[in-house]
Amino acid sequence: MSQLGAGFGSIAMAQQLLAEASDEHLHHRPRAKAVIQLIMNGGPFQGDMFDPKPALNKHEGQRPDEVDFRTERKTGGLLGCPFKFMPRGNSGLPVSELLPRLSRHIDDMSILRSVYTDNPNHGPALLMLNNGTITPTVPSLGSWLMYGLGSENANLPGYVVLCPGRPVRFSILWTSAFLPPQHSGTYVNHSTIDPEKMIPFLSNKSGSLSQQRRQLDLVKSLNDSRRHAKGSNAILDARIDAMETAFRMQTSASQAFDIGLETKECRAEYGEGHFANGCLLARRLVERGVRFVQVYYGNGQPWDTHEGHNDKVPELCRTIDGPIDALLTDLKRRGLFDDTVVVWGGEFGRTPVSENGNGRDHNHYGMTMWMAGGGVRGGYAHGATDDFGFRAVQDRVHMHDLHATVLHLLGIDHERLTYRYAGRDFRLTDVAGNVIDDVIA
Amino acid sequence: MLIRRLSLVLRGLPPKWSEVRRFVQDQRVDAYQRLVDRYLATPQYGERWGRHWLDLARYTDETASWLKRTDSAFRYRDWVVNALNTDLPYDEFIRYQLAVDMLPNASTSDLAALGFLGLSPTYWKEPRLDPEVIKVVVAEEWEERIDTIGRTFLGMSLACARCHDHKFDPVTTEDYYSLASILANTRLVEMPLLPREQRERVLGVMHQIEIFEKEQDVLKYASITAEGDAKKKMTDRMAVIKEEIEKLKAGTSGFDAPRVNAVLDSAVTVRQFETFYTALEFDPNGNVDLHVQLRGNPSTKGAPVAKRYLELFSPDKPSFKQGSGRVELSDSMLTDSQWLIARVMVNRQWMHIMGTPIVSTPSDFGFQGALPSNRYLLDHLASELIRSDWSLKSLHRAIVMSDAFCRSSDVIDESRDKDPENIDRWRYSPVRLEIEAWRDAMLSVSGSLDLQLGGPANNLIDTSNNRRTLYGRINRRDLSTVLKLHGFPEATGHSPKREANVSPLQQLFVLNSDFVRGQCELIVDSLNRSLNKDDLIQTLFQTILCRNATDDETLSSVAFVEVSLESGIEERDVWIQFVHALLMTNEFAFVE
Repeated sequence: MSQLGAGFGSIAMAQQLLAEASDEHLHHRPRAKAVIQLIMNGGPFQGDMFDPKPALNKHEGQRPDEVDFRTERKTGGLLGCPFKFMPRGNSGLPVSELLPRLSRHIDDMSILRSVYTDNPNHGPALLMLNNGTITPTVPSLGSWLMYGLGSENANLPGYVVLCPGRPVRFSILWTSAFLPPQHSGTYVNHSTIDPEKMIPFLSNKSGSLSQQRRQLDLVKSLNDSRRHAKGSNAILDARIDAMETAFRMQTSASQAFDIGLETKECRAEYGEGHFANGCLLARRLVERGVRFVQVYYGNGQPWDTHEGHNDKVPELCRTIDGPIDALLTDLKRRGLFDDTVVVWGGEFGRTPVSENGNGRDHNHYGMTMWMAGGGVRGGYAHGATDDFGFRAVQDRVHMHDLHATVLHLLGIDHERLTYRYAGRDFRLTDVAGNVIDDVIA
Repeated sequence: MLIRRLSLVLRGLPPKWSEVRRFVQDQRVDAYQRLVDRYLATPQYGERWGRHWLDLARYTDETASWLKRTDSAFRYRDWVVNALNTDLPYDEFIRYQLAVDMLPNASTSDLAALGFLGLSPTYWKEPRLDPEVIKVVVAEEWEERIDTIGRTFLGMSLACARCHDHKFDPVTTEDYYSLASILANTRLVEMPLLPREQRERVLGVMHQIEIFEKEQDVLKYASITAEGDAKKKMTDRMAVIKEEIEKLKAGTSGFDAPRVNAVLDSAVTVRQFETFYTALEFDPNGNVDLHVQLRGNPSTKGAPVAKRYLELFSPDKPSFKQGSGRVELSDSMLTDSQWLIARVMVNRQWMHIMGTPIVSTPSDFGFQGALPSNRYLLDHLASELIRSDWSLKSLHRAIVMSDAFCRSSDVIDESRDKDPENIDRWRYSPVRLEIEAWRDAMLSVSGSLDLQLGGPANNLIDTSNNRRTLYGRINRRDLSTVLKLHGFPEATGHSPKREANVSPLQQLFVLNSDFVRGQCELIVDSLNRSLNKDDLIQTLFQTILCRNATDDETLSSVAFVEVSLESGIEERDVWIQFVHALLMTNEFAFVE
C-alpha cells in the first residue's frame, strides 16, 4: 500500500485523488496491483471460442433479418462453425475444442460475451480499446493507470507494450497524450529476445560498470558543488535520481527482459513463438512490479481473417492456448494471480455471416472478451449475443465499461481519476462507463 | 553566466568560449544590448523560436498514411522560421496562417503559411462504411481544428461547445458550429507554389483529376465482385481514366511545381457515391450551410448557423460573406479580440524566456484557467506588443533586457524564505533545456554543428546527422525514439507547453547512446593532449560549460583522471569519460 501511495504522492497534479483519498491513497481497496492485457489484434470471432452458436450451422448459408447489419464489407449468408464445444470445469461453461489447455482455467475466468465497440475499422477500434475514443488525442488506459498509481519498480518502466513487430496505428495506442510524457507506454519489439536490442541504449559500451560508477560519482560531485549556489529544485534532483536509476537499469532491465534466464521446463511450458515469449516476458515484468503489460499477438493484424476463416483459426488458437495456460498457471504458482488482472480480447469481433464465401468481416456490434485474476469472478459468463452471435443484446458491455472495471479492480474510481486539460476535466471513460459489478468476485 | 543564458534563450545554442571572452572584455556601457541585438539578428533565432510555434501548430513532416505521401511539410516549418527572422508582425503572422491564399498582397512563397491548417490531422474514412459514421469522423476533424485555432491564438478551449454550451466560458454551440461551417467550406490541399492565375489553373486541373481518381476508386471496389463483361467494362474504363489523368498532368504547365500543404475554399461534404463507397466530395464553387449538431451528433440537426466569429467578441455583427470566411475570421479575431490575442502570445514568450509563464495555463485563459501571477506585467507586455505593431523581436528584446531576466540564478536565503516559488522573480530559476537545445548544444560544443538553414527533414537516429534538431523528421503517428524519450510533444494535437520530464530511459540515452559518445570523441580528438591535466580540464570546462572550473572542481576532476589512468584505462578513453561526465552534469542540461 505504501508503494502504491508513492505513485499518488509523487504526482502533485493528481489533486482530486490526493484530496479525496489522502488516507488510503486510492479510491477504494484495490483487488489487484497489475494488469496483463493480451490483445488479439485483427479481431477474433466470438463464436469460435467461448460463445457457441449452434444456429450458425443449422442455418448455414441463409441470411436471416437478424444479421442484416452493415459492417465494413459486403457479406453473404451465415458461415458455419466447425469447432465443437464442451462444458468445462465445475462451472460447466462451454469452451471450444480449439483451447484445450486454456479451458482448464475456466473456473477462474469471467467470459464477457456481450462486449461491443463503436467502429468497425482496425485503427479506430484499437484506439477505442486503448484510449476510449476513435481519435488519437487522449491518453491510453495504461497511461491513466501510471498517472493514477505510479510505478512499483523505479528501475523499470511501469507500462510496457510488447509486440513482435507493430500493431496498426502503432505508438498512438500507448500515448500519454496530455498526461505527463513519462506515463506513456514503453514499446518493446520482442521479435528478438535479446534485452539489449529490446531496450534502447541499455548496454554500456564505454567501459566497465565500475568505471561508469566512478564517472557518475564525478558527475555527482560536480552537481553537488553547483547545488550549493543554485539551490535544489525538483527537476534538477529528479534528473540526478533518474541517472542513478538508469545506471541500475543496465543490470535490472537486462535481467527483467531476459527470458533466457528461465528454466528449460518453464520455457517448454510456455512453448515457442512470439506470443509465448510475450506471455513469459509479461510474467517476468509483473513479478518485478511493472504495473501494466500489454502483449499484442503479432505484427499487423494476424486475427483479421477475411478469407479462409475456419482454416486459419485452429492455428491461431493453437499458438495462444499453451502460452496463456502457462501464463495463468505460472501466475498462480507464484502467488501473483490474485494481484494481477488478465484481460483478453481483440479490438472487435467478426461477423457470423461470410465474406468472400469463407471469411468473416469486422464486427463491432458484438464480441467476446474475458478477464481473470485479482478480484475477478471465476466460472462466470456475462451477457449474451443474439442467436447468431452478431450483436450484443443482453447486459451489454461497452469499452468504457471494460475500462471502468479495470480501473475499479486497481482501486480507482473511473469518474474521479481526472486531469484538467484545455479547460476540461478529462477522464478515460469520457462521460460514460459503468463498472461491471457482476464480474467482480 | 548571463551570456550563456541569453544565447540559449534567443538562439537555442550555447556561446563559444571566444564569444564569452569577447563579451566579458567588452567594456562599453551597451555591451549587453549589442549582444542582444546580435543574437536577435542571427538566423538561429528564428529556428529556436519557430520550434516554439510548431508545438502549438502540431507540426508534422508526415501526414496520414492514407494520403498521398507529402514531401512539402518542411515549407511550412521554414516559413515560420523565416517569418520570425524577418520579424513579420504577429497580427500578419496569424492572418497569413489562416487565409494568406485570399489576401491580395501576399507573395507566392507565403502560401506555405497555410500549413498551420493544411497539416491538420485527418482520420481514416473507410469508404465501405455508412455515411453517418463518416460524418462523425469529419466532425472529429473539425473538433481538432477548432480546438487548435482556439487554444493557439485565443487561449480558449472551444472544443467542448461541440456537444453543449461551454460549461464555464461564454461560448455556445452556435459559436462552435459557426466556426465549424468555416471549416466545412475549407479543404486541405497540396497547393502549387505558383502565381495566382497559374495556380488557379493547376488547382482546376487537380480537381478534375481528383474526380477521375474517385471514379477509378469506385470502379476498383466494384470490380472486386464483378464478373465477365461487366468486369471487363470496368477494367477498360479504368485504363481510359488512367490515360486521361496522365494527359491532364502532362498538358498543364506548372503541374509539377513545388507544393505546400495548404487549404483552399471548397464545400466539403460526405457523399455516398455507391452503397459500397462513401467519401468526401469537394465542390470548389459550392457552399455548405451547417446546422448545430445536437449533442455533437451529426445525425441530429439543430438550428442553422451562419459563418461568423464568437458572439462574445463580435455581438450583432453581420455574418461572413467571402467564401469560407477565413479572411473575415482573422480580421474579426484581430479587431474584436486583439487584447486577448496579445495577452496569450506575450505570456507564451515570457514562458520561453523566463522558464515559467505568468498565466500557468498558457492555452486556457478562460474561467477554468489560472489567474496571472502578475496581472500588471501581463497587461504591460500585451500593450507593448500592440504598440510596437506586433513586433515579436521588440517584445523579446524588452524581456531579455529586463532586470528580472538578468538576475543571478543564485539562491538568496532571505528571498527564498519569503517567496519560495520565485513568483516575484528575485532570481532566474534554472530551466531545463528542451531536447532541441540540449542536442544542439552538444553538437555545438563538439564543433560538429551544421548550421545550414531549412530544407527537407532528416533522420535524428543517424549519428552522422549534425544539423539542428529542428530538422529531425517528425511523424505524428510514430515519433522518433530520441524525441519521445525527451518529452517532445505528440504532434497529434496542440501542445501548450513542454513538461520538463526526466525518466531513466532518457538518462540511458545520456549514458550509452552512440550520439553522446560520438560528441565526446570529437571533443577529445580536437584537444591538444600534450597540455598538462589542469589546463586540459580548464579548456574543457570553458568549451562545454562556458566558464572556468573552480578549484574544488579542478581537484575532483584531476582525481578522477588520475584514478582512472591508474586503473589501466587508456588515456584517450579517460578523457572521453571525463568529457562525457561534463556533458552529463545538470549544469549542461539547464539554463542557469
